Amino acid sequence: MKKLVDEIMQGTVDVLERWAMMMVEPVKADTSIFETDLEFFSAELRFHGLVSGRWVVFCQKPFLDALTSNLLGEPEEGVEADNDALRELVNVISGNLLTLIYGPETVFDLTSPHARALSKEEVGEMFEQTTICLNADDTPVGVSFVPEKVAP
Amino acid sequence: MAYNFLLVDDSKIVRKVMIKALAMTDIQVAQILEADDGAQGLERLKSGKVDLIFLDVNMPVMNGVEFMEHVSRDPIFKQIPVVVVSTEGSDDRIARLTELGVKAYLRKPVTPESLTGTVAQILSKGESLS
Repeated sequence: MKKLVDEIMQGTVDVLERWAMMMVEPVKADTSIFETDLEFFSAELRFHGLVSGRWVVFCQKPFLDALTSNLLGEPEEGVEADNDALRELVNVISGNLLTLIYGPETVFDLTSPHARALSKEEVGEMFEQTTICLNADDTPVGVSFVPEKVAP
Repeated sequence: MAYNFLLVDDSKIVRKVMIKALAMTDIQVAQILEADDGAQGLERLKSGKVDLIFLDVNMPVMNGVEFMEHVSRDPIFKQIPVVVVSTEGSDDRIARLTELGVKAYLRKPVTPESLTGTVAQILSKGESLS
């Protein structure tokens, strides 16, 4: 399990640093790192193959603002820009992590990423999964790996 | 010489990042056409001259492999070099895209440096110039 967590951390740090050009610091995977009075947003992507499951990225508005601003070089307001950036983030993280964990010889079918708001209860459930958390440009973000089944 | 590019990706933010990355290179850009998916990409190809296509794989409506199946059957479109820009990392799928005529593969996240090297190499061979 520790190896999996380390790989998720390594792959996520790499994507946030290289693609989103964010300063990243691993932090304890716990709900206490998030702001208590802010909404949660998430994007998830399902994958099917040797292992099936989903990747979920969850965060709050300050992370979305930092992400879109870093990607575009200027702030971009609007729910659609936020959702688009978050969907693409989970897409890039998923592709990189599946290759890192299972190798390039393993083929997975990926669904299109889907963005939605997440309740605090659902965020709590993420911490029952394999979840890592980071501070990226001083804003918290979590990444969860939720496997569904293993082929015999 | 300035070149015409077609970006086929369902993410508007990715297209913006690619346009920004292209602007940071020495490559001269005449026009950048954009498409949300493979079907729209085929329509854009019919509407004007394109020197190089950047193609995502995982898209709704028509994905990158389906787009390449159409392009590879067209005697004119199949001469346009295609660079896949995707998170897709499986050897099998990359091999299938190569069979269909894809010239290069860039794994997301793409840096301006990797973009410059790949595009300059392809365009310097004159493969796209009809």
